[in-house]
Amino acid sequence: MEFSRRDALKFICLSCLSFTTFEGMEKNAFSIDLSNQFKKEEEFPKVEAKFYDKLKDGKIKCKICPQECEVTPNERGTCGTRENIEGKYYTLVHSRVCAAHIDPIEKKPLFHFLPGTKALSIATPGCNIECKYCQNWEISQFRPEEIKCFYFPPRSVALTAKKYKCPTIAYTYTEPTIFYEYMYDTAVEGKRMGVKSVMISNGYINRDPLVKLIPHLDAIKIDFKGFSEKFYSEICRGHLKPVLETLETIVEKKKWLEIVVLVIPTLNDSISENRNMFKWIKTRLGDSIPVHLTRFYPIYKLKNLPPTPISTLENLYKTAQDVGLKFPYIGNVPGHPYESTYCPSCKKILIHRVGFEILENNIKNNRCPYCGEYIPGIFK
Amino acid sequence: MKSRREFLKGLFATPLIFTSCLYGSKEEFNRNAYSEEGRVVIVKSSRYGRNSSISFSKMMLSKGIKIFTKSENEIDGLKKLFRKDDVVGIKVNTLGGRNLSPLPSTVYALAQLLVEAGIDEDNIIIWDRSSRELKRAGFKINTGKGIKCFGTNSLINGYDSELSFAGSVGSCFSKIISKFSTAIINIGVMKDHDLAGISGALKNFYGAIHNPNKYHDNNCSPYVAELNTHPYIRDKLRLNIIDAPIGQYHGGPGYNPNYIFNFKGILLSTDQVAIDSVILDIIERERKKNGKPPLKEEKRYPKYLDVAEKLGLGVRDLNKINKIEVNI
Repeated sequence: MEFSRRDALKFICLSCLSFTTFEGMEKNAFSIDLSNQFKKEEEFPKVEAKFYDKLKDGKIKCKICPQECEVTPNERGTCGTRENIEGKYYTLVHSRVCAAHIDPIEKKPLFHFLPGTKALSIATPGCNIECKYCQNWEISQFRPEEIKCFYFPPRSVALTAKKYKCPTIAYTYTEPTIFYEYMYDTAVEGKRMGVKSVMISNGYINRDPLVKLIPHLDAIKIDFKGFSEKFYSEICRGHLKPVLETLETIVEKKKWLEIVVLVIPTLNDSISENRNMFKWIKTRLGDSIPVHLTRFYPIYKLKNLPPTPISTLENLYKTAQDVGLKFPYIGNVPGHPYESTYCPSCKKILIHRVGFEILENNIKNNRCPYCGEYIPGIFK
Repeated sequence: MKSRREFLKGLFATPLIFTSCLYGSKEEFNRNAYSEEGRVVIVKSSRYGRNSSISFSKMMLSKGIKIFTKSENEIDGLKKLFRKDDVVGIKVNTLGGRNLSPLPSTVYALAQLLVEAGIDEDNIIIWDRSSRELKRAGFKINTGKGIKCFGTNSLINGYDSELSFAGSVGSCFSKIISKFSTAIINIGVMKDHDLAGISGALKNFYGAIHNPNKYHDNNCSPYVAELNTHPYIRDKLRLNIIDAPIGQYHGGPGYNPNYIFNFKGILLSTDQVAIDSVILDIIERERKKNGKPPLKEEKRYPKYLDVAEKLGLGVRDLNKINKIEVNI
């Protein structure tokens, strides 16, 4: 298309005119338009928190997790999900769900708990620590009102699990300790309807709430971040000791436990540190606890590190075996042979996994069909 | 006589010259906007309090702006701080509810002054992290025409989707500061904070990020200081105001009537560290008067002020701060 001189002049003059309105700066000439930017305000129930002490001046001390935040009126603790309202402490995330999916139980990962089944997996926003490599930071590191949520009360969760033939409800993705009251009520409701409950946690919970919760759960997976206080304090804004205590409490209460260690290059991947961790697990928790050594991918505030080399995971796997752990696994490496379960006695394959898929499951009545070795876990 | 070519050239050049003459570049204005390190103006009146009218608050502010900017009048003063085409975000601290938040009458008085200085009323946003807290403090939520008032949480995706870093702070910023506003006025209050020591100007920007609850250990240091070095704050912040009809010397950050003192004043500065140093001094004096130990003894000294000075955010030493106090 060709422009004549006339067209060009017309275009230029119009441009000038549009610029001159700039000079006059009529009202609203620069107005910002935010009309489509707002959302409808939603209300969720505020439920009084279960574990806290009242202090003077309207302050409270939260007792749900080792942070033990002292919170003044109108403020919230580290998790951002519990608020002191006129001297009473409330959870703002009861039934306030930001994620709900039906996942394979292997995704949790729980490998010795109803393999091949599905779990209705739910989360509310928030977390009581902050791992620099959090895979779910977009929901775990925000306050509840900053995340799109929907109302999903305990009874509806249990009914939904039944409807979709999920034998288990998983409290996962974020940190279930911060939605303790909701998890507790849902687990009770689930049990009443014959649906199991599993907690996928960082283990940063105080003993009292944990002990009261355990009877309503069927299995627990703990993210064991590393075996050094330095790692916990510098990378996770937490501390190691409370996690060790949680692990011991779970075993003491005879609840099925699996452990995940996300191995991060240069930060928690040393053979010696992990050997010490494996030894601690063996002596304090037992040699039959499955330990998942999973691959790190750069995310959130740790984008400067590469994914974990598979050789590092394999070396740690062998170290775990050398120490005497019977069920180490490699995770986040789909198709790796160490995703599968092997009999610790005859070494034959018992559960053949590829990713979250179960290709074969040979375990019969918690026994290896080849040599009769006892295989711990909940298999039906 | 001009040739056609020359005429056309002239036409092309006109609008360009025109617009640049009118406003210059925003970056240039940011660099040259009026600011004075270590200078704090305090305007006090025995009549200043919760029931003050907008017109009275306006008079207090006008006096302060005029003196602080060394201008003939408050409008000239504001013109040194803001461009006509600025979108001005007024960040208030409303955590303390109706009793311990900036007075709505003062905030609206300031907004009116901005309008008188030529800023479009549609381009003024009074904001905090949540609309609920704004309402509780007595502000009327307005997301429509005119001076706007709302919390970040009222926006669909109110925070940036990407993390932004400032020292050890890694956060998603409210889009009100990162995307919508070209200039920021920071209005805090004069109060004690059980973890940070005090909460005044610097700490107020915890309300601009998605994860403030993760930065309260070690008396919020160095986090408060580092957060304020972020370009969203450093490049856009034009004025700090501490609205202090009252102050709270203990038991903060929430309102506690047992520890309130009358101050009956407004503090203004472009220097966040200086204004916070002045209010720290006032709070410490009140603590002493009321038998409370210094914040240091309670392990709550706001170390972030020293860090902020080291990071070049302002003047910490009270002896170097030029404090000008006027009474009306």
